[in-house]
Amino acid sequence: MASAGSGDEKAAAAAMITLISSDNEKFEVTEATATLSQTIRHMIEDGCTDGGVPLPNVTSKILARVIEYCKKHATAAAGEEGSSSSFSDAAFLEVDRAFLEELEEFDDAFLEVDRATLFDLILAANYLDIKGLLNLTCQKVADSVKGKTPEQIREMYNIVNDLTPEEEAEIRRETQWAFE
Amino acid sequence: MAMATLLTELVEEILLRLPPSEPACLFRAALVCKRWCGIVSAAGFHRRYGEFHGAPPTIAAVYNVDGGDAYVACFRPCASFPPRADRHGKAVVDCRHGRVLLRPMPPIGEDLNHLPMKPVILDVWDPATDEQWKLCLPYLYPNSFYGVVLCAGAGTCNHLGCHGGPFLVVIAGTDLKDIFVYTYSSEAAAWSKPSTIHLDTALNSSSMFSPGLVAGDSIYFMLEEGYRIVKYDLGGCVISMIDPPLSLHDAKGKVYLVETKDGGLGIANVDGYNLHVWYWRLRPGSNGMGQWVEEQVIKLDTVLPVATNGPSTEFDVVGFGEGTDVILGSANAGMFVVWQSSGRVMKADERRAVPFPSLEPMFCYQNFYTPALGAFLKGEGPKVVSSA
Repeated sequence: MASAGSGDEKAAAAAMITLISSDNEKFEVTEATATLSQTIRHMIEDGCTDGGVPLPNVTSKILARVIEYCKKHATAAAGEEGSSSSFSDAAFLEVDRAFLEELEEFDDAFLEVDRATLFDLILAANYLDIKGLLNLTCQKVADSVKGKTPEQIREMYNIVNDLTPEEEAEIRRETQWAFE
Repeated sequence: MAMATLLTELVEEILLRLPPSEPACLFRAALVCKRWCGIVSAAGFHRRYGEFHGAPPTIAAVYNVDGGDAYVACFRPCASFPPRADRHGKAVVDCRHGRVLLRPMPPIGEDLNHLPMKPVILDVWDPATDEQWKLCLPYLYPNSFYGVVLCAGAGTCNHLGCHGGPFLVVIAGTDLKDIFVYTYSSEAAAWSKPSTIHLDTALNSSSMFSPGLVAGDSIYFMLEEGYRIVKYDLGGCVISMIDPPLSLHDAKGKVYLVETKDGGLGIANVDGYNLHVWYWRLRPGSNGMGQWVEEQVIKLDTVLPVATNGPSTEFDVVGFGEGTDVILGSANAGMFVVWQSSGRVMKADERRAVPFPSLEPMFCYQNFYTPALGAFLKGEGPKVVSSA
């Protein structure tokens, strides 16, 4: 039973899915990579991935980046499962830590993109329901806002100040301490 | 351009990730535009912000000082937070679930163990809104009580940054022969009938109790003399007594009630630079009988010398942030907040803690402080989000 089960898993891991970007480019990915997206996972479960999965909201440029992220993190997830079930000694914990560090470095490098791309990645992560990627990209924007004044934030992200002068004056009075 | 294309729920995803240890970030974000102001001020944002971040950060240290002519209750932010005035003639008794419990103090110089029998008015203070409520102690033993304030939303509130809403104040008092516990409910605006327990052996002194602890559904108080622990079951309104670990009977150092990781009763004793922690564990199959298990020894010598300018300085632990790694201490050089994991140290005050058992403890004010500025938005513009 057990060996048959693991055989099925291997077969499932090797199964390939075709993702089709809005500009009609096709990407072949493993099911393990694709199912980091809850949206695609549900489509696979419902058996509607034959002939490829059209993603009309994601361009090929962004989809390529998303797949890059998913590939890396799918490997990480597989590695974690393996280590927690079979190994527990310090040497393997060390390997685990090294791997996590590598993953962190990957994420940092992955986020080295211009703001437009960052926002496209947020939209794609939301549409495809990839929790880790949404967290990563939203945190990046939050970090960039953290120490800034409202003026700096508006300028950075082209936000129009639609507060009336009266509203702004009142809110500013209430939040004066936050500028000290 | 780009930010405008994001749905409001995605902008909220971003703003949820601003750090709770720096509340000013959210307040500055509220000034960016109507939409942002609406998002961070929306009713559900505070709750979601708490759920996203888990344990609320320590925003301020709350403690008592000798202000010369009066005792003063002080609130010192260790994060960006609006300044709050000192409370002269008051002392902090407890701080929990976003509220501070204050008691009135006589002028400095009066014998705190022999206060006149007269009504005592307590204050419950919410530093986030700076609102204060008054309640009169339901009996006349002003020098022999201790109390806790807690959120009344048991079961409906996860206490991740309690915010307004009803509260409870639980007071334990003694006349040396009995312990009695009263509960005040802000919803009922009234005190409960007391629960009482008769002590097998009378107390030696009616001096006040050490800080109380809320863990699980129980409230614990420690009698300062004799080291006896009073357990009050909030649901059943039942009082029971627990003896501290035997080895603590001769302990001269400070003894504190602490919450265990699984929400049970623990006790911490500071002995030099070692912090000994015992957990109260139920004996298997003993029908509720417990025993003390020494759980860990935390070495403080790695963090404390930083705070005190060298290991030779005397450092008294005067409090713990419940559910945090924060240790509060008093040394010759002042009062300190120490974050064990990061090693961060903040000096809260130049002065030492008041060397009187009921006034010495320091408390952590932990909360998520989020804007409530929606009322300032007028006229046309994006609607304030209030998704559930």
